[in-house]
Order: sequence, then C-alpha cells, then structure tokens
Amino acid sequence: MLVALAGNPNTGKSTIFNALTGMKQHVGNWPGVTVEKKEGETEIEGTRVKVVDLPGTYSLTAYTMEEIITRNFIIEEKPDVIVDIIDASNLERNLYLLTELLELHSKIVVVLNMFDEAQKKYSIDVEKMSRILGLPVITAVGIRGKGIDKLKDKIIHGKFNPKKVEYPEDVERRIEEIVELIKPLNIEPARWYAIKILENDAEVHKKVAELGGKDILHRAEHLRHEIEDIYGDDIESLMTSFRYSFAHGLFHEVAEPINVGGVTITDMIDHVVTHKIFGLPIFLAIMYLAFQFVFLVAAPFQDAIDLIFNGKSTATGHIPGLVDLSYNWMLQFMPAWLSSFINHGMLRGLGAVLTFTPVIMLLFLILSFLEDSGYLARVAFLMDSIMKKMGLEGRGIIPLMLGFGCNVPAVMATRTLKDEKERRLSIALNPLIPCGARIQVFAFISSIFFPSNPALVLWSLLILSMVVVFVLGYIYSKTIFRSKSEPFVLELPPYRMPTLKGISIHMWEKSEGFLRKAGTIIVGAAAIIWIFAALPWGVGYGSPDSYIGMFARWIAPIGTAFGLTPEAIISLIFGFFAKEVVIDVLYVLYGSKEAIYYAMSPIQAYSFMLFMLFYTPCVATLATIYNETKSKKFTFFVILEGFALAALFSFAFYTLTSILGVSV
Amino acid sequence: MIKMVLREICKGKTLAEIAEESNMEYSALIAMLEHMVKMGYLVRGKKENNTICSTCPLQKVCSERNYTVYFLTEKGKKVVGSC
Repeated sequence: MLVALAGNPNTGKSTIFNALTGMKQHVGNWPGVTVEKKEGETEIEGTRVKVVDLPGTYSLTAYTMEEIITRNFIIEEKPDVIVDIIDASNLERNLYLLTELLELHSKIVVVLNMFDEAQKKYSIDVEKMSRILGLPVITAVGIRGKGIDKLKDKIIHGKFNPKKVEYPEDVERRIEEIVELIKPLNIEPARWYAIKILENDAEVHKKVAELGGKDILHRAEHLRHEIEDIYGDDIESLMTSFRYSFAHGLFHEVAEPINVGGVTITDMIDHVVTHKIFGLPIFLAIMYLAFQFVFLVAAPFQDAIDLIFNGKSTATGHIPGLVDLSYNWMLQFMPAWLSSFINHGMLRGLGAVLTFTPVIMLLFLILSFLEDSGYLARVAFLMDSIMKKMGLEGRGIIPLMLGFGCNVPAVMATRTLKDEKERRLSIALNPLIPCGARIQVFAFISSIFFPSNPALVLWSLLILSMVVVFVLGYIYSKTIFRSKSEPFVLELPPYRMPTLKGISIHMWEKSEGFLRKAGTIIVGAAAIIWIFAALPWGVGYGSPDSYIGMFARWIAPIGTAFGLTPEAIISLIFGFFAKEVVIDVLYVLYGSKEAIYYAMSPIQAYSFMLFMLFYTPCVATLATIYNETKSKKFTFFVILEGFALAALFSFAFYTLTSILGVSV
Repeated sequence: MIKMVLREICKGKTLAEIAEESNMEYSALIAMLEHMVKMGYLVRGKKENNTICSTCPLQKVCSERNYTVYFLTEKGKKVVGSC
C-alpha cells in the first residue's frame, strides 16, 4: 500500500511522517532535482505500508519544482491514499491545497494537525467538515503523538465519497466537453487534465501536445475564450478564484473564530462594556450589585462575630458577649481598671475590626474577580475616554482606581506618570477616592442607620466621590496642574474565567494587610482611646468629665454646623491615624450599635459620612504624599483640599436637609 | 476573489485592511498573494523600490527594513482594469 503525505510547508508533516514510520526511513532526492525525498515503511493491521513525504507546497500549479513533483507523483505513482496534513491553526490558508488535491485524487484523509493551537483560535466542527468534504477528517497533535492511531485506522478503513469543487454551470459544461475530448488519450484523472487544459497549464499542454491532442488544445482555447468573455476575466484568475472561494466558504462553514478575525466573544462583550453611553452605567450597576452581594453575604457573619464579642440586648435582658464575660472573669485576679482596659479597650477594638473582616474579604474577593476577569482593564479604558473629555490625563485613572483599595500604594503608583504636573494632579485627587478603610466605615454606619439599603447609601457616596474627582480634576488640569496630554495606551487582555485559587490568593494578599493592621495600629489606637476615655482617675468611662468628654464639649459648637456629634468629631480625629479606627472609637464611646443609632439621626449620619469621605487622608497616606513630592506645601494643600470639600458637602447637605425639613 | 484582492491592493489598502474587509485570515491572504506572484499578477519589491519609502526621511532608521511590498504587474493591472 502506498500512502503520500501532502501539505503546506511547516504543517508538521515530518512529525507525522516520523510518527508513522519510526526508524524505517530513507532520505534522498527526487530524481533530477535537489528537493529532498523522504520515504519510510510501516505496518498497519498486517498491511505493509510505504509512506512518502511529499514536498511542502501551497498549491499544485506548475510554477515551482515542489508543486510539479507533488502533482506528478500523485498522477504517476497513484498512491492508494493521500494524507493531507493541515495546520489547523491556519486552517483557511491550508484549505486551498485541499481543493486542488480533491481534483487529483479521491482517497484523501484530512489531518487537522496542531489542533490544540487551533482550538485557541476557532471552534472547528470536524464532523461537519468531514460531511461536507465526504472524506475522513481527524484531529491530531503530531508532536505529542496524538491522533496517529486514528490516522492509521482511517488509512486502512476510511470511507471516501469526495466532494469536488464545483464551478459555475457554464464552466462545468466546458470542462465536461474537454473530458470527452481527451478520453482517447487515456490520461487520468481526466477531470483534472480537462481543468488544466482549460486553465492553459504549460506542463499539461506540453503533455497533451506530445500525445497528439493539438486539436483538443485548439478547441479548449476556444472554450477558454468563451468563459473569459462571459466573466470578463482571464481564465487563470477565474479558476483560482473559484477554488479560493470554495476554501473560504468551507472555512467559514466549519470554523467559528474565537479570538481572531471577525467578531469574537471578547469583541462582543467589549462593544457593550466599553460603550460610550452604556459603559459607565454598566460599571456603576456592576459596582452596586457587587456591594449588594458583599453586604448580603457578609451580614450573617458580621452578626455572628458581633454577637460573640458584644452579646445581644433582648426584651428579657442582655446576653453577655466575650467582652463582658472576659471582663468579669479578669476582675477575679486584677483591678477593675486593668480588666476594663484589656476588655473594653483592646478586646472590644479587636471585635469591632473582626466584625468587618467578612466585608473586607468579600469586597476584595469581588475586586479580585473583576480584575482577574479582565473587566477592570476595561473600566480604565472606559474612564480614559470620559476623563479626556473632562480635561484629565487618561493614564492617571490607574492610581485613582488603586485608591479604592488603599491610597498609600495608589499615591506610589503615580510614579508611572512621567509629567510632574500630571503626577501631582493624580496625587491631589487620590485621597478623594474612598479607600477600603473608609468604605468599611461607611458600611458600618450605613448598616446601622440605613439597614434597608446600605448598598445604595454606599453607592451614592462612591458616585459623589467620582463626580467630585472628575469636576475637580477638570478644574485643576485647566488651572494649577495644566500639562500636555499624553496618549493613553492600554492593552485590553482577553476575558477569562478567573480561577478560584487565583482570586483566593489575591483576596488573601489584600485582606492580610488589613488584618495585620487590625492586630497592631487599630488595637493600639483603641487602647489609647480607652485611656483618654477613662482618665482622669475616678471619672465614668467616656463620661463628659473624661478627657475625651471635655474635648468633645469644647469642639461641639463647630460640629453643630455639620450635624456632627462630639463623639463623631472625636472619631474623625482618631481616624487621622487610620480610618478603620473610626468604627472602634464610636464603639468605645457609645458602647453599642444601639447607642450609636440613638445618638444620631440618619441625616446626621449621612452628613458624618460626607465629611469622612473627603476630610484629611490618614497619616500613612500623608507621609507617602510627602515622600513622593518632597513638598510640605503640596502635602498641606492636600489636607486643606480635603477639609474644604468635607466642610462644603457636609455643611451643604445638613443645612439643606434641615431647611427643607427632610427626614429619613 | 483574486480580482477583488488585486483591486484593493491597487487602491493602496494595507494587507490587514484587505484581510479584515474580506473576512479572510491574514495568513491565508499572504499565501494567496504569493500564489498571485507565481501566477504573474503581482511582483514583490523591497522598500528601496517603493517610492513611498524611498522618499521617507526615516528610511534609514525604519525598523521595517525587510518587509515586502507587492506591486501589480501589467498582467495584474489588466485584470483589475482601473482602481
């Protein structure tokens, strides 16, 4: 049995040849030329099979030696089976040769080699391809030896009912006429010879003339001119075009591009999520749903942690929590003040922080999911076009987005901006983006005062911060931070489904920082607050006579303009150390969630959050800003900017709602 | 298809544009062009033969030193007629 391997160059033909023949190979040259000829032997189900590796070629015209060798071998040696090795990752290119092979031979096994690579580009319907061609079509990954057994099986048992390339009726009629004319010459395959005579193929013309078929060639010339007159093209380009059209059509019938050419899934999603009009509402909706998800899932965990640490007040009395139980137990072997310091100061502070661990972890889980899926890159792209309209530099959106996590790395990330003014603009805007810690505080306050829809409240603050950033950025970029705009180049990665392991690692990396902070700064700050709330000796804890109480009374007149209670002002002052501490201070000063709820109205609570949204960044962020700019003036400017905006929005909101008599 | 591709080349479109507009794989288009070179419709030329490149002030520092420029031959122009 003789099997010929045909195919384009670099389709893995030699790999398949080696896999079929093993060590039984002979390498030489094709007669009279320096083109390499490889032959080998194998045995399939007891049948001895000679395998010939034909030269790689894209077509079977008579222009190159490789083409002539290939087609002459098929015509003269008449192999039992031709194996057409196709590089499936460049399917369309490889199909043209197949159309020519179909005219030469009827027993062709099509091997879609490099199928693993092809699957990254298209989804190929192998069954359909086999049905359309009427040939066995198999998939293979030659370098891994995949598909070789199937190929051997098809070489022996394959069923062949090949479809020929069909030309238009007026062309087919003339091909048939030539087929009839050349019958006396006994040349096979007759249809192929007829087509080549019509196409004016030099090699075939020579052969037919030698066989005494000059009259046939004259008649063929007449038929050729008729076709050229009908179509207005020369015959060669016409026939080649028909075959390319067949290959092109076959390709689109069986292959569905995934990420190259045409409209891909990524293109379709991008068309929607980066849409000029719908892109931003989609982003806002996604963020809203993300917050809803976080609160919904985190709520039971938060309640459980709160119950464990602080107990619960019911109609029949108070169920003691860990703080109370530990306080009473320690009273047995230490003074009351020390037990209070450990439990009411530090343990309660730790409890407050742990209560919000589920929120933080879920928030980072969602952000990690959006980041790993490729969506956050689209948000940067989306914001770029919007920010440019606002007169802002597009690339500056990346540090701003990082600001949603923590302003410290976000300020450091502005190093990527080359223009100094542009960099300062980004730094100046960064603290106005609510960091994860501030979002925690908003989540805490919202869950107390707006239990029916805390996500909506959080969402409104997020939108306000974005609007302020855009408007202020526009003003800054036109005035004090005017600079030349640089083009923003961002590669959009393909969408992918994030792995559970990947997002878990990202979530932990980000949450770990928060927990570490909780174990040090926050608990430490809680201890300091306890001291100020318990001293001087003998006063009630957090009473008006304590240091904190005295300070609160002193500052109270200022707070009334913004609807801020003295305790709220104290919490904001401690928030200067770390924003998360605000929660702890409120807990320490008020003692429970219920007490916080009764101390403020929802309007006051919202005004408090507005103040917190913009007022001075934490000490760590300010230190970073100074380090990055080496300018005390600029650092002071950032503090002033924050307080001015906080005072403006808080005052405006509280005054307006008071005048209008709005209540929630 | 041959006529269409020749016409687009004649119009001065880039290969990427032709591939996209004809919904054809880029590698398939390149193979087709090489086929057309063999058939005598196109001729390959280097950039020094290309008037656009030869008048470019960045010619000496251009990173695309070895790219191929396809020109329509008389046979190719005959197929296209006018662009």
